[in-house]
Amino acid sequence: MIVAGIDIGSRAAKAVILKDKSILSSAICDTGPESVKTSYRVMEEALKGTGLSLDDIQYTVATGYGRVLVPYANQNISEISCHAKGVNWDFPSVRTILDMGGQDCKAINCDDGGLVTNFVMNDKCAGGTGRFLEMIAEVLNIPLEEIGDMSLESKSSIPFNTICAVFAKSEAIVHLRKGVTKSNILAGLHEAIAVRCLNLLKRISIEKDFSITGGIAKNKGMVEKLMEKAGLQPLLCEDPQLVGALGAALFAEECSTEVIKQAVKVQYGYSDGTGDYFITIVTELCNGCGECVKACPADIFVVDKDDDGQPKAKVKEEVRKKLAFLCPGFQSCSHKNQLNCHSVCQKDAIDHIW
Amino acid sequence: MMVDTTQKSNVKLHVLERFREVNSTFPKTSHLLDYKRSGNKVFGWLCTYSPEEIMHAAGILPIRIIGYSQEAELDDGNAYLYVNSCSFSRSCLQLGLGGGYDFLDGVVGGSTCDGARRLFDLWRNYIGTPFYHVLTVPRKYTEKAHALYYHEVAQFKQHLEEFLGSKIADEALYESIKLYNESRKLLRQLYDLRKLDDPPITGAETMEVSNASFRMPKEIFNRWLKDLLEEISASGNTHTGRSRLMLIGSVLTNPEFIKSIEDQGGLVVADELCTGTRYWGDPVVLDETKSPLEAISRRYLNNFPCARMFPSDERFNRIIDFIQDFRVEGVISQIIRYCVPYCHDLPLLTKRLKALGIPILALDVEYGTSGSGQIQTRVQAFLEMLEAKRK
Repeated sequence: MIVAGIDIGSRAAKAVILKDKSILSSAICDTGPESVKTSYRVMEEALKGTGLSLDDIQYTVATGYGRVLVPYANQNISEISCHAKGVNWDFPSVRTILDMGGQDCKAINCDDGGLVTNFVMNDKCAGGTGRFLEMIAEVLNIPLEEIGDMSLESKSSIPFNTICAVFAKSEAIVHLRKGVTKSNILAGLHEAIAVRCLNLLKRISIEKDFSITGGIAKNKGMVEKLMEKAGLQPLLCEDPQLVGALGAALFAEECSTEVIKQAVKVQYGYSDGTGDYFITIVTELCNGCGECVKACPADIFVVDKDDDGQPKAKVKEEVRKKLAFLCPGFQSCSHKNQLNCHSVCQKDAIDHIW
Repeated sequence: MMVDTTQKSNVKLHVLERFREVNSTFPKTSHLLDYKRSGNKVFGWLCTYSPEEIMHAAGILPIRIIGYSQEAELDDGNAYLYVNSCSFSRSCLQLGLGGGYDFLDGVVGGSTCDGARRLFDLWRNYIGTPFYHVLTVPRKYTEKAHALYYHEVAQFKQHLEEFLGSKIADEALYESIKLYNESRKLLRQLYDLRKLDDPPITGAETMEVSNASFRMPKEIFNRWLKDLLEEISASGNTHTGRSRLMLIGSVLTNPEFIKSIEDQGGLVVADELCTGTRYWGDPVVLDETKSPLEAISRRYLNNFPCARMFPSDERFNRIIDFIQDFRVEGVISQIIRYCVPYCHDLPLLTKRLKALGIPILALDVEYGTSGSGQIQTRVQAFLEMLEAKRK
């Protein structure tokens, strides 16, 4: 199954394509003024070289600020839930996440399933976010990618009194005029942002393990400072900037399975005085491998062509009325440690309610 | 996922449109202007600790002074009130300075919080009305506090009598108490409908009614609300949502804010707002041992408390009762920036709710907000969190 997650952030747009629960490709590009166009552009980028087209993607979940503006998305989920989901995929042990994005910061607590248990967000102002670092890089005339490393070269960092992007900019200019080195200025700014983020983290609870996501997590100087302040070694995903899109893709995976299961299933069963009983085969998921035919001790399955000529598992015509007597039930098969239709089905297409 | 809480099968509530009309034309509604034209007096009150029954018994129509129901430009408000006073008081002042309340014959306030108090002072200085009174309101529920507040209420009555040149009779007080209690009873009936699994009325719709309750004569309000209750029960309307929510915090009068939550699928089933439950919460309880004035004074000090009251647990217990009665799954706190009483007891309340396993989303807002961008994201994440918790 091919699904996608797309994260239209305030500064960058990200896309992740999953094929059968592993990452097929990903892309990052700038968020332009038109979110709709950006959403197509980033997806095109991600599809490049995969031989796939947008139509091949079965389910798409959108997240980020532009999540409601993605025309081809099936659903939108907030970036808070997506970051927790995404981190959980790499590190199930993580309980505290700091998402440092382009224009806001979020502190998130989650459980072992990647579900959010608590979160806080910074206030309206974008001080101490990605945009702030961009502005400072501009003032100091250093490429954005280098400011983190440069801040680590500092010997004595300059304390900053403000985290307001506008005031900090003028303060930085004053320091530059006085001849303070760029690395010392950067160290001071990184320190100030780290303190602000720590305050955010303190409003939830800082529990092990800890992870940092979002574009700023690629900045080594910032990660270093946060590690120092929080007293925890953060676990970093391979590309922290993609975590939101990855989480969205994982939600897409879950949702599509759910949708497909609801949409196309064939039920075989019977009802007696105690209720209705069914064996359900989700035909969309079934690939006709025939493992269930081999596994069933009562030999009730057969692989046959469906209306489209595709091989699908079915219950044999002649036993359909005798299921109550023939099928021992999934429970009793499991008890005897026998193979059963559930355990051998690679696609998780068979359900049994007795 | 977007879930539409207003299902298509639901019919339009016509009586609700009447309430909407009042809210959209306030302060200069046809009721108030008619009332003035026929030679009667209209007073404005600034805080729920101002006893309305006394004004009503004196033949005055009391209405609540409220700011713009949207986030508005507060240039004059900001010029006269320091920006660290809440945007609610600045919004009220802005509307007052612009002549929105120029028909008022008097203003009654309470020394409940600095925002309300300073607003009263400035109102007195810059917006002329013939009558002013501010009541000192104790912060405790002790007998001494009750004695002090009774004294304040009695003094207010006396001041009013001097202003009008006539006495307020006990019989008139009894009549007013009856009328106001009737409103409270009807509002309670409306709220009780929201205890159902699929309530027939949304949070945003309920807010139209509670907003109108302090903006129009109670005689008409009670009649309309009875009509509305009948219309609702005949309508067969039902509303479903992803989660049952309770809204807490200071003043909120913009139904768009609740609608923005409900559009995302959260169903607001209860509130603890100064402009909602806390306004109509308790009835005046009459008994033979108390004079009507004492009964009024008791009611106003003992009413569903504001965060300014001490001990805070009194308010927390009531919130928790609501959570249980209305089967609330999550609480959204909306606090107007710089509202000191509410900000300060939020951590204590959060702790109490945490012990019960009720998640709380804390939002800092400006008065009048309709719940824009970032608030939407937080609400959506909160709803997703509640859904995940249920699984």
